[in-house]
Amino acid sequence: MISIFNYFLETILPIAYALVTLAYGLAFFRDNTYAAGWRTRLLIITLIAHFLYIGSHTAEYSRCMVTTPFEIMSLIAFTITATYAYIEYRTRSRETGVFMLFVAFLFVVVSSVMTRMPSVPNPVLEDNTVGIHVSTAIFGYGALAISAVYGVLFLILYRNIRRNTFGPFFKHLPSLESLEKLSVVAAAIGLTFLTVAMLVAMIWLPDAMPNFSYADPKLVITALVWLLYAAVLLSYYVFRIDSRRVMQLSVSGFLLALFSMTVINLFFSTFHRFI
Amino acid sequence: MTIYAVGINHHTAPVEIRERFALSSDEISTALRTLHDGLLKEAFILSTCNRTELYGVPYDDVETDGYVLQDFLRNLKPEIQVEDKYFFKFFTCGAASHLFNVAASIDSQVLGDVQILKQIKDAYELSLKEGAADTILNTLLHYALRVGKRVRAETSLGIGAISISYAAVQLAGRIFDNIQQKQVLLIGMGETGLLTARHFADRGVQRFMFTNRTRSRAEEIAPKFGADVVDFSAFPDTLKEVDVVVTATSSPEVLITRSMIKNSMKGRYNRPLLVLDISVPRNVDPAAGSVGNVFLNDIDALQGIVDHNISKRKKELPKAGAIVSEELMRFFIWYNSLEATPTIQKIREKFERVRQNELERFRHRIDENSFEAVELLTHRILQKILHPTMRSLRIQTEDVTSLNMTVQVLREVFDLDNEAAEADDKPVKKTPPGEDNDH
Repeated sequence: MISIFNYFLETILPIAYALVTLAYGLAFFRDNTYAAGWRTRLLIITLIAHFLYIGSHTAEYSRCMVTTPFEIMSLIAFTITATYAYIEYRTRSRETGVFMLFVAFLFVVVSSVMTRMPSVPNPVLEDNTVGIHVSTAIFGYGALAISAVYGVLFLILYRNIRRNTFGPFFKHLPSLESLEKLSVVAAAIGLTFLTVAMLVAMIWLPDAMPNFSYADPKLVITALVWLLYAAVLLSYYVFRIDSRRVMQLSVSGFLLALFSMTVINLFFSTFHRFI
Repeated sequence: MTIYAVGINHHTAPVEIRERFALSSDEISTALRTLHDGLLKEAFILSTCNRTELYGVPYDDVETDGYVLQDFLRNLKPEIQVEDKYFFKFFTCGAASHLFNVAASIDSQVLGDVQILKQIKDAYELSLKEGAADTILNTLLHYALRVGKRVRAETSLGIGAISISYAAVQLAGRIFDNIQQKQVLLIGMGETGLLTARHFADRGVQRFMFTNRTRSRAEEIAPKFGADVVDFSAFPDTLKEVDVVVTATSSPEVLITRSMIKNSMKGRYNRPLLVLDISVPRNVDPAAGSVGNVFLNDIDALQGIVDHNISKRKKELPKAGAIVSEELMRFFIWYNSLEATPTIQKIREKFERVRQNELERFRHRIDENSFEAVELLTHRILQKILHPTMRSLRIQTEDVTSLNMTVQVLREVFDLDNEAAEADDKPVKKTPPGEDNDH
């Protein structure tokens, strides 16, 4: 019964995300009042469905869904969506929804496509420390994704204003200062969680995998990501460099993180593969 | 029961006539009293810088037409001598349609003008105060105000800046988070610059700096904005403090160079700087716009915002027009039902008279309790007989031709016109006990 329910939710989740992204998109780009009336309701329905999916998946496999890339991507999508829903609730601002939810939608679609379940879970994953590492990493990458989206929106609006083009981005997006602030705050939250994830891993790794190398591509790239985001925060709070450069750093950092989660994990890391 | 709309507006008369013809509240009040005492049982006057319009419903027994009302309006300001060609005249459907278009701000000189609805409300309140608004105008204005509110809520007709100075404020809103906490430097005391400063002040900006080649001119105007005055030679030093710079001078020179801007950005820790160069010729070096976090917009760029917003408003016209049509239909369904109301009333009265007369004849034959039962019974029979007829009349209010024919037929069938005359002369004849006049 649970597996049927799980399969049902797994199938409708990408559809739900597609619908809610479409509603936010129509409201933003076409000023569609019908879509504007329905978008928040669809967001709540999608969040509930995703929450139920996490629960049913956990029930079906009797463990947390942190062991495969598809599971982690699904959790990142949920983190982005839940965080965005909270931002919308607090700020009453819905303009950035289409962009956030589009990123979440992509993660959900990729996670559905990459469905691959090991027949026997890797015993390494049964360690609670791994659970802490993965959870904090998920929150970290979710926040960095949000920071990157705000960074991209900042760069688009910045360019529109500089070029005197006044389309839907000019009309609907929050101000440049707001976008910059949101991006940097999200980056700070992301970096904090990422730091915890890295520290936990550094404590756990030598005992769990004595043969690992500090030159492993996964560790090198993760360190680079950390440095990039540290540079973002230093640039904004201390050196006060040009906002455009700060946002470009933020977006670059997330692209590198995405590269690490996918290509590096799948093809280059010697130990960060648990499938 | 004609509704008249007579007046001048920006379509029919030039601005020199319109602005001199505008009426004050006192003049409107006096005019309404005069109209109400003579020509019109209901009157409403809307007077703004772009229109002076009179809407009215004449008394039943007073001969009037559009020209009479036009002359009345003209005589309110005889010194101006407004010619006939500057007046428009609309009647009933045209009058209602025109008023609804005005309320929807479709007819405004500035499409989507948001002030017109308040102006109509204020004028309506004057009418009510003078006792010049009654059933028809009350309902007409109720629907007109509803049109205005619906257009505002359901369309984007009133959204977006459509003046250079307001576009500047809109642009600042896209850059800065909390514009109320920003500081604005105004260079030059030109009209457009001051208007821009006024718009910023309306948005909550409280910190202003003014500078002008003639310091006394800046000192004269600064108190109105609570602004600090800076020496013209010293204004470059203020660039690191302010967030918005507005240049509005007639100087042919470049007053702000790229290096001035670049140096100031270091001092302001690269916080965004918006420079609005609305001078002609330009006073800011265009190369200054290439400095990071500096947004330089001249008058052409701001005009681009205005043109974009006007084009968006024009796209909303069909939606607004549909709302006007919907409410017009609702108003005229009600308006047409007024034709049927006297006839419905007369039919009821006639049947009730017959019922009462017959009941009186029978009163002496039966006891009080039975009489009450018979009274109730006859009342219910009457209701059942009359109900289909009344309903038929109400349903037909959408088609005035069909309605008028039905009303005419009913008046003839029930002989209502003669009945009205006889009812006044013939009292109810009470039958003495023992006599029966039924055969």
